[in-house]
Amino acid sequence: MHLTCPLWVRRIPKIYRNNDPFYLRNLYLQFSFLFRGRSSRCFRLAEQRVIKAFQHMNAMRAVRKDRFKQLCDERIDAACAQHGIPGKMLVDGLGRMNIQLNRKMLQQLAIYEPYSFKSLTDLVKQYHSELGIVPPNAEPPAPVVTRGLLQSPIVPGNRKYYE
Amino acid sequence: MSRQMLPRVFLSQPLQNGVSRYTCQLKRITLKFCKFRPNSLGAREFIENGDFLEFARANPQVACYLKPRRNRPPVLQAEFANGSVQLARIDSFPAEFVRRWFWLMRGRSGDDLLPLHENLRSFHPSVQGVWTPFTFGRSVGLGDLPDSRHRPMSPSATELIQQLHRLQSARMS
Repeated sequence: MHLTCPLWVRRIPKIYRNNDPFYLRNLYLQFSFLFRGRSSRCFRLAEQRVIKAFQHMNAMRAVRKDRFKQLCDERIDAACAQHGIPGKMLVDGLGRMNIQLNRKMLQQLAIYEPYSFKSLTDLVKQYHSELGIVPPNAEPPAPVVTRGLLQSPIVPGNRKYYE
Repeated sequence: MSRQMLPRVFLSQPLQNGVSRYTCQLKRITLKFCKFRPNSLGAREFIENGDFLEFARANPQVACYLKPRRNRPPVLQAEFANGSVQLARIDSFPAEFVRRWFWLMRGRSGDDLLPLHENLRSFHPSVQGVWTPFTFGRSVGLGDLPDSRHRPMSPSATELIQQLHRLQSARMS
């Protein structure tokens, strides 16, 4: 099929004038090239799928954070269950002792440094046993002399009380 | 869709640069600017303040070029050891920003800027050993089979034969 030269030339975009529809359609098709079937090739189908894909991208931003937090919580819970305490107790206890480890780091420790994680659970058990709270399924932690430091830890703000 | 369009990569350096020895990956940097137009003012000030010479002296491994181009916006062109070329538009930037772009290019490896899976990467992420069900003794996943919590399984071949035998002996007797 022989097309004459004028048919190949695109209308050059100018201000206040319609430019060639090719430019807008190509933009959508660039986003759709990995889609399935004709949605990746035909503009009228691609336009719908691409707009929906953008909506999904927007919506998933908040959902992704929540899902990651859920995953971390699940992993911490499972790791703590092996040592006999609930995951919430670990996170709460570490916060009260001013040990600043967030859920992301705790689940990394639980996977890659299990003995450090166990020592954290021991700390939390010690803290709670000093307050008289004993988790039901837990083995008692190794006896450690804490001298009340877990209950009132030295932080930059209260250092003057301990000098 | 975003992950399909721009695939994510892991942090990496060309030829493990920095593991034993660090080589600056920036080979040539060219500052193209106009001598008259106002959007090149920052670039001109950067040169006149002596910051360009300071950069060139501090980095003898980088070939620094100046390219005055009439009636063109200012651009920073950086060429790297892996052959890639990166352009930074410094249109109407203050001199301090131009200086920061120079030093930023000095620290780059020339790899494409792509979204990362994670901001960290380690080939040995575990020092104590990755957790297994056997790390703290066999205390996880213990139980006997068949477990009453599982769905009732269809009878095994042995059980079927035993059932048949019982039925047969009941009929016979």
